[in-house]
Amino acid sequence: MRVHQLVPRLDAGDAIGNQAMAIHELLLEWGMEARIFAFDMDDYGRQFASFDSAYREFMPCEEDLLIYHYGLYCDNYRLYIESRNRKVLVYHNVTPPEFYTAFYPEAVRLCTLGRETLPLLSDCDLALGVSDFNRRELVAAGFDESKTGVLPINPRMEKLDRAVPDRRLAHWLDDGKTNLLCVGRIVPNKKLEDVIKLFACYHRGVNAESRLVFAGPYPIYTYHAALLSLIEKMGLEERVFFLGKVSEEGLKACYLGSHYYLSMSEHEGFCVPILEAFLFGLPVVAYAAGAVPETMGGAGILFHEKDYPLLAELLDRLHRDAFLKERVLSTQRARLEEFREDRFAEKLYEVLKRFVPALMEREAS
Amino acid sequence: MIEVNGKELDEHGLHAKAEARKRAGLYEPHMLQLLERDIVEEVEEHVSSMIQVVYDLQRALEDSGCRLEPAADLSSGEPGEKKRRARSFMRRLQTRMIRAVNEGYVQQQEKFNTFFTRTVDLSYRQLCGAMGGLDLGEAAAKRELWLSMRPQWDEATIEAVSGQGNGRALVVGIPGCGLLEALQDAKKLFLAVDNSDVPVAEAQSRFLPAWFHPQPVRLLSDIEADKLALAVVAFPECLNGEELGDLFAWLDQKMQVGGVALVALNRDSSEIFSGDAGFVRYWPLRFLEELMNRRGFKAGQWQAGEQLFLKGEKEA
Repeated sequence: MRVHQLVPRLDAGDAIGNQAMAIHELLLEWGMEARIFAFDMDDYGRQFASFDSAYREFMPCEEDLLIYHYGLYCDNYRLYIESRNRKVLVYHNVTPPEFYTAFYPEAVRLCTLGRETLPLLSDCDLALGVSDFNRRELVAAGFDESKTGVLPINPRMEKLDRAVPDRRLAHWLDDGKTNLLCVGRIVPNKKLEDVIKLFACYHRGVNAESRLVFAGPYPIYTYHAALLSLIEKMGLEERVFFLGKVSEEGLKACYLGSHYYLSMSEHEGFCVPILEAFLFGLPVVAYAAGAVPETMGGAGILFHEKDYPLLAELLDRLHRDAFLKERVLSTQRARLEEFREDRFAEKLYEVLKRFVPALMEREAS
Repeated sequence: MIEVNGKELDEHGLHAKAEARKRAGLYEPHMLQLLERDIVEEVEEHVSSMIQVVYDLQRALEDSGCRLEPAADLSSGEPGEKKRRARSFMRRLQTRMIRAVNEGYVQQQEKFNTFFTRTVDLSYRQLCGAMGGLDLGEAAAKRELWLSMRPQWDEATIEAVSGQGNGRALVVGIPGCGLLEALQDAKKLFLAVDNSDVPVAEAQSRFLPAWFHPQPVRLLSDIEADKLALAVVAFPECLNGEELGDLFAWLDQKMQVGGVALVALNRDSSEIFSGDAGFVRYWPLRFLEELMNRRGFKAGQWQAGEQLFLKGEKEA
């Protein structure tokens, strides 16, 4: 039997692509015949995946297993519906469209379609959320709760850990200023305007020798322009920096050169950068929304109200109270242990063994 | 509530410090206001300024003679018109071919114009979409609303206009009943037509010969109006290029030598169509001049009262 994975895109550095690759590599390691099919892919993806039209020849085979990753609306969901393989859905979450209403009508359309399509995918053998937050959304969308589960994201941070930090970026960040970091796409659900507001209070009221760094692409220019306008009105042009999409080396330099990681996001299906910040020893200060509390798992600092002057004082306290900071960091390190590669392999094995007889035989032998 | 490692933090000290900093004036009132500001307001300001930029660009293009509307048919409307149009078309095609062969840049220019026009249009649509709620349907409705306004001309303008031409007068677009009554008193008014029903209803209630039609120029083809001496086009923005072309083709046939055609130039008017930038597109002066000249009207600007006109006198 074979295991096929179907994804909307297979790109380097993309959360869905990373998860698909992590599963793919484990399947190959376990001696399975595994393939990835994607609607589209970048140069990195081309090394591992075929276009999804090639999947059609495997669709009639009832013995095969299809793992479908769903995180944004993509036409290849029809292949999933028509396929006669046994089916496992991995749900990465679709952003609620209302976040985009004022910024990008096309995204509103796609997100609405994405959410409306979800109930159509409920006919499967197992539906997995990458967090319990996502699993609950599956149940709310009409999936049979007894056939749902959680398969957390494999953060795959070895590559980032091995990368040599970008020298110039590291040098720029290492000038004595306190650096606040936020990683991820510049999109409205991440509420980056609130990060800027918090930084404004920190910079004006607490620590004038500070800077805010955003590392991530900005696909929605209206939102980016609005953020720039807010920054200008607050007089923070010299203190807030958008680096755009950065390389692994650049990202590592950002993590190593920063002092705090901030998240004000109001909707996350998992949020990998939080775990990356754990890895590089940054205290994480995050708003408790979406799957963020679950990903943090009791580590780091969570807040439930966006009281910016108060949060600025909290950052100051972390800066002054070395004992508090160390307590936070040690809990974060402990939490990170739960996302080790072998733990992910165990969980995937548990999930797949009832669908893949070869795995059962392997276990017996 | 703030949780550190899953346990609630005592926030009293933090609150006290934050309040002390506020009292010390470290957070300016302007900044505290910005903390409350919704980012959507930034977008709305940004989008509005972008719309203004696109609109200014459009005005600049029109002023320099670029025409972003479909061309009016400038061929004569005499018998054998179809043949003439075909000939005119062939001639233009030939010219374009020769230009394209000899001067490759012409094609590039055409392409540029096409894509530029589309881009301006697309940008405008996207911006309207980004404003949230203002979709194209609403924009079109808003444009209609502005176009349906019929501000009245001042008395000096009415007096000067009604004194023009020695014969029957046609009014396209009614700038208030004052003009129609002045023409009626001078026994000149032949017909007033409009694509807005409000001024037509008002004129009809005063027993003035006025008629409504969504495309008023279409009415004219069925009307016998020889020896026309005055034609007043009060709101040319309400007519598309094809309608303007048809109107002047009709006037070419019906207007007697020495007759006067007046086209109001509303762009610089302080009250007409100036509510929301971008919803009304004014005809470029050069285009209107060319339209008149092609139909045998000698065109020139003319001020009457507060209103500026393009005045064309029919030549032999």
